[in-house]
Amino acid sequence: MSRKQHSEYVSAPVLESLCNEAADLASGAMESVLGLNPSLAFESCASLAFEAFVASAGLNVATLGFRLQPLPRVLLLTLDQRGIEAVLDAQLGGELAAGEDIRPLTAVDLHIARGVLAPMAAALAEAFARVLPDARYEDVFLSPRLDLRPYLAAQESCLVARYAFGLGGVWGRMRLCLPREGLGAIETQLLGARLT
Amino acid sequence: MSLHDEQIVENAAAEDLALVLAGEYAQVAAAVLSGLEAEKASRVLTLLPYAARADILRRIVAMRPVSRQGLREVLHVLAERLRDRRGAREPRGGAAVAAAIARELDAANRQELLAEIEEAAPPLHEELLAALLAFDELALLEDEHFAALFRAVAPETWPLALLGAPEALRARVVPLLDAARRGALQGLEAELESGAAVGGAALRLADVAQAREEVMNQARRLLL
Repeated sequence: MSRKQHSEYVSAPVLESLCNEAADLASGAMESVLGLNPSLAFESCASLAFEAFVASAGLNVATLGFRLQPLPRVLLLTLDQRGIEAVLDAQLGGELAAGEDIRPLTAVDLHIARGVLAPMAAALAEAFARVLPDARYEDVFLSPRLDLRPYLAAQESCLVARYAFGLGGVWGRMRLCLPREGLGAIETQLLGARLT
Repeated sequence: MSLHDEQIVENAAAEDLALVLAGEYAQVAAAVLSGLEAEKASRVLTLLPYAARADILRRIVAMRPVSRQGLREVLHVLAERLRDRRGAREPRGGAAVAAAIARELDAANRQELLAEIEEAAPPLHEELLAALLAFDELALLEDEHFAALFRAVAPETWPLALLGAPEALRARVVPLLDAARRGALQGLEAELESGAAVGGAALRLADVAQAREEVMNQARRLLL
């Protein structure tokens, strides 16, 4: 399969606007959950096959699976190790100089990731209410890995939003994966006709 | 809630705490250890993977103010894991379990049982001895026991036994060596590093193993 099939950037003003709005809402919520004020900046949107999303996010990321009712499919939010360690450094008196060692994520890492990802998922529900009236957010799972889970097939087409998550000059990555199947009418609203 | 979590972490056995901290980000271990009594923190640090210890200690030196809320959250998760470890203790066998039980016996009873096992099942006796006291653990001995062990081992044995030994053990033995033995150790290390003749290196590994066995024989005689 060609690279183009899996990395089409999306020019979607509404989706970008919702992602930006969610980032603003989530930053405030994270402050109350974590006692920190991280920077959360929307970077880009792309249309990717699920397996390409997994390849770009990496397997060693904390993954929150959640639903935005009434959408039928599970959405995924991921936070990488660097983002988690930035939070731990900020909370536990670290130097905020991210290391390079890759290690399996632990229960502490997952707990920290939940403090970042759950407010973000709730903020997405709030922002998406503009195109999805009565959107309700509900956790499905929190995992220390991004697996090829049964929720999504490898070739399934997804809208992917990428965020930079920063604390004290250390930047991690957060990613949102939104399966296109089941979006129905709101996909047209999110993307318009401009898929480049 | 959080006070209880803090107590669970503080009161946990050093071995359990080390197991729980072993996979964590180094700043987590640094924050937890910095809140323990120095003696316990030192024991936990010694039980953590060798490669992580310097980074953890360095982070304790450089530690900035810690958020109480953040630390409470981390301690809560660690306390949960420690509770899980306690709850998961089901009946099981093995040398480690037998060794833990044998350690609690008084010396006379322990020696009597060990002698019986040696007679009945020498391989199991060996396994049990290894679990009761390993060479790498000698650095953890109390000063009095350590001094007795140092005196009991022939001086010329120590340089060979220390080749490739854990840094913590070297740090305790080397200051006690006389100048000649220290020189011998440095010579052996330089020889090893420079890649001595293959035949010589093979012979040396056997010598190192034998020297360590001599140390362990004395340690078991004195301590078990």
